Amino acid sequence: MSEKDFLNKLKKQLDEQSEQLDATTLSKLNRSRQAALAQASPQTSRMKQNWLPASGLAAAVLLTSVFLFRSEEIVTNSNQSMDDIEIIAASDNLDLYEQLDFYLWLLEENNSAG
Amino acid sequence: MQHDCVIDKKIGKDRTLDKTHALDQFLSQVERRAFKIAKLAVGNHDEALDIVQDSMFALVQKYANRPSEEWTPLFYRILQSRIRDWYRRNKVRTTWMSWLGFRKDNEDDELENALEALPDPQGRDPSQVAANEHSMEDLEMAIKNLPLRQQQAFLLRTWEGLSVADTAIAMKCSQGSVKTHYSRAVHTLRETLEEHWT
Repeated sequence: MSEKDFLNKLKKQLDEQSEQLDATTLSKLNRSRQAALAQASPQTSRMKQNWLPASGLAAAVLLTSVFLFRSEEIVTNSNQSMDDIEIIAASDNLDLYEQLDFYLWLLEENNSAG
Repeated sequence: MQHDCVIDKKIGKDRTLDKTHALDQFLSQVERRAFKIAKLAVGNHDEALDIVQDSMFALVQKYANRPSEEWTPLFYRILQSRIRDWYRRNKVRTTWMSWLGFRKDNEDDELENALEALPDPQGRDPSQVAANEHSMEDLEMAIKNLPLRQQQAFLLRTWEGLSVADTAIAMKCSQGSVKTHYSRAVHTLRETLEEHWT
């Protein structure tokens, strides 16, 4: 047998072997191929193309929202603090008004005594 | 302006579809041989499937935009690389397993015997099947017994039909080495198989 014939025979046998692969193996190979090709599909490419700007936009929106929410909270807090100060300060006045009769009586007593 | 943009997008989409179709055709042409090459190298069905799957993913991920003429040597280069990785991992695993005293049971042999006892699904003559299987087993055994580099050079050149230059790219070695590996492989296979086949 010449080398060429020998190699042709080998090749033929190998081809036969690969043709006789069982259905499960062929199905798994097919699934692997489809999964690999899904990476190159237009949808995936478009998703990849859109992913970066979309994620950048989402991050920007998130940061802005957080900033706005926090600043509003700070403003609200500072307003609340001002109101609190006024109430605390006003509490003296309230005492004065509550004791007004007593102070008026004291003033009259002093005047009559004087 | 907007119209041009739409046309550009459509052309881009069509190109991607063409490329995906071409890749699909290419991979469907090589997947069976790639699986057999990997299985002959690693001797395990599932590991061979994993190696082929990894190679497909890597080709699509890294080289999908390369000219289609380059896909064959690139794909087999990835496959060879994955096979070598498997050998490295397996060597480490085997060393540890033998060091720890684990030994594989005869489960595989038992499964093999059980499968052999099943009737042929294509309804062929048992003597013909036996002769054919015997011949194929001889061939598989002879190829498996070759040193890995000789085995791969032989399969890529003879079966896949790669040129010496493309085989050298796939095997990451010089063309001279490919010729040496191939020549030795053919010599050994002729010595082992020719007497059974004449």
